[in-house]
Amino acid sequence: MYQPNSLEKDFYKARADQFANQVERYLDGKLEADVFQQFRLRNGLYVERYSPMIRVAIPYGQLNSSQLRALADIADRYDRGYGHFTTRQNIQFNWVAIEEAPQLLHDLAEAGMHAIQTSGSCVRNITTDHLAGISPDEIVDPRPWCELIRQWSTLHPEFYWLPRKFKIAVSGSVEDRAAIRFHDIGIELYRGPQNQTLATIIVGGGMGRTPVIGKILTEHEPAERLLAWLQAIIHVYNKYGRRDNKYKARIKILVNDRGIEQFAEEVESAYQKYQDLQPAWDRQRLAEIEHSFERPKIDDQQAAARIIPVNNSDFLRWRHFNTEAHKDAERLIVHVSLKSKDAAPGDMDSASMRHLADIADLYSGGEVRVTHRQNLLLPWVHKRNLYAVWHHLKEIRLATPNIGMLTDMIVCPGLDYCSLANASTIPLAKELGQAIDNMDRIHQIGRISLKMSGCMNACGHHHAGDIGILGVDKKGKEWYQITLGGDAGNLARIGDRTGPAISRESIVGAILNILDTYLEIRESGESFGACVRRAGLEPFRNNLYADHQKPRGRADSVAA
Amino acid sequence: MQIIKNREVVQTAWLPEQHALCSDSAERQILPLQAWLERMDSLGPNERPASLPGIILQPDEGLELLKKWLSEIPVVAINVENFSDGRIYSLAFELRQFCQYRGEIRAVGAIYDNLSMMEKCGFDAFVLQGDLSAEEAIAYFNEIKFDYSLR
Repeated sequence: MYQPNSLEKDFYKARADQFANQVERYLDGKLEADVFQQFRLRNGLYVERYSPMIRVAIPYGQLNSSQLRALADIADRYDRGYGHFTTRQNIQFNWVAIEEAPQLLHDLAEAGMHAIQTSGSCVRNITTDHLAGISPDEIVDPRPWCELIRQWSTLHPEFYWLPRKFKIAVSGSVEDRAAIRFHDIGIELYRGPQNQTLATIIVGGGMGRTPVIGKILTEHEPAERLLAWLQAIIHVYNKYGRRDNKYKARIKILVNDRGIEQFAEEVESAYQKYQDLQPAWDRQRLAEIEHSFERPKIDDQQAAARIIPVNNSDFLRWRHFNTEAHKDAERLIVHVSLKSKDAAPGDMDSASMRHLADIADLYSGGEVRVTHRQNLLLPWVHKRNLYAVWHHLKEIRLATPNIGMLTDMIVCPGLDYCSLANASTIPLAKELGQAIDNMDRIHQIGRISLKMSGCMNACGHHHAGDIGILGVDKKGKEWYQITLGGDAGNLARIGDRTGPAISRESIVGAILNILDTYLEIRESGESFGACVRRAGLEPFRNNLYADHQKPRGRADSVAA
Repeated sequence: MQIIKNREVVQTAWLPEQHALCSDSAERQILPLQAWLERMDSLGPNERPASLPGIILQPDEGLELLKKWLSEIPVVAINVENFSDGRIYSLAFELRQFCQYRGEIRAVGAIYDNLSMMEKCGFDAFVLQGDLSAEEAIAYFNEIKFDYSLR
């Protein structure tokens, strides 16, 4: 995996020093709060409901074991001993003092990490498939291209002050696992007839309060021209994106206002100018980056057959749900669930981080990845070590066999941490987990994505969940809107609302009701999404709202 | 008036028209776009001053109306009312790169630590406001030297 060289590490440190100076001036009253806010956001520092929070970039979700240990140290030193992995493959620390943030950034730099542009109105960290480089359906490894875009967009002088945040995702596989149709720019990479790398560029997708599926800007572009296209798109957005209303400032609003044809024309004209300026394409740099993403050297013998496999039904169940095929037939991709009954989704304590780092060193070439489902995975596990890996994971309670299942929910921090939230999400996720505390039932329901956001900013991506739950505030009380049939992948679809919002008391019952309906009406082997597409929302609505007898859907708990 | 030009403190003769030291001779003035266009319109067909007036642009103003004169305008100032308004950076970039403008691009207004990024977009002159001293400002140019240079 890509590791920053010493020049880059020095840059991260210089950046931390610069921020230390800004913090000092702010605390001395020499820098106005609104100016300091702009600087702190671009260093990942938010001021949250109870405390500042810092968001650390994990490019492409990839961590080596020493970086995971560094994160554990940071959790102990600056937070309360844990961190929270996010849907954008970052990690957040929730209890950081502003005065200590520059030192935290310095510690990160030592470990080759940073928090640059993890928030603020700028190009955010580039995301991609969490299975990049290991998935059997991969056509082009997207990571070198992501890294090229990351370098290009880091402290980009022209694009550091955009109308709003800007998210770019890249996919290079048959199945889109990077949600490229829900990003400001989505890039799909594939091969042309001469085996050259081509790109389709999608613009104007997004979630938030106005969910939009991105539109194709251009297709079959040689990947060498990607940066010129990105410059042109962001240049047009930077000039004409709305700055008067932050809720209308994302590029999706500009694309919709202009219409994709006119927007594409403006971009094309800017592209011609950037194309003239673009220095000669640096093949050498891409080759170096590509080299850095080559498969790590793995010593499978070191740990081989330490524990003799037996016919253990817990193990077999875990293997069935938490592992998947690897492009190397001798290996499996091993998912590590951070969705147990005892912890908030995506949370991990420092001791578990260190244990997992040890497991990664023994069995996975020292590499761990963060997925956008707020879980982790071990990318290089040899099949013959699988039982040992399970055994170790079980010891540290990271072997919950629920990957892709109902209890593998995606949940934003909600009212417990976030100053924007209207409703709590983490306690609700917990209650829901307790209400369905039966693995057989969970496995009977099968693969399903439940995504929960505590407000319409949609950090939990509820629009794109099979079941989406959105927290809303009604006269100071927490209510929840349900959407069904969303999809973040190739069949990108925004979920449809079932109807009026449902009260805090009734929401768990309502979800159970929806699951009952699904089990009742699904055809053999039919996924939740396929079931909603076939049957529509009516059967779900009828059971959810019309049945006044059942305690879970009482009329008085349904909002008008 | 003191400004920073090419990372050094210098005296400039180019002043906004409302500036107390600005001469009445209409030379070396910096005018807003509308006034600048009116001044140009008022000239007779073969009447050209020794030097065109400078111009100050707002972030939402474009370069279309200026293109034919650009190479002769000695100073294009950009009003940096809000340093986090990204349009000022694109405007400077367009001037330098798309239009090949070689004159002075002067930032007027709220300037903070981001001088070196402004410089990379094409700004070469800065009018300082508020508490920021010239020494502090010049030091900011060197805070971060690293650049991925992929622009």
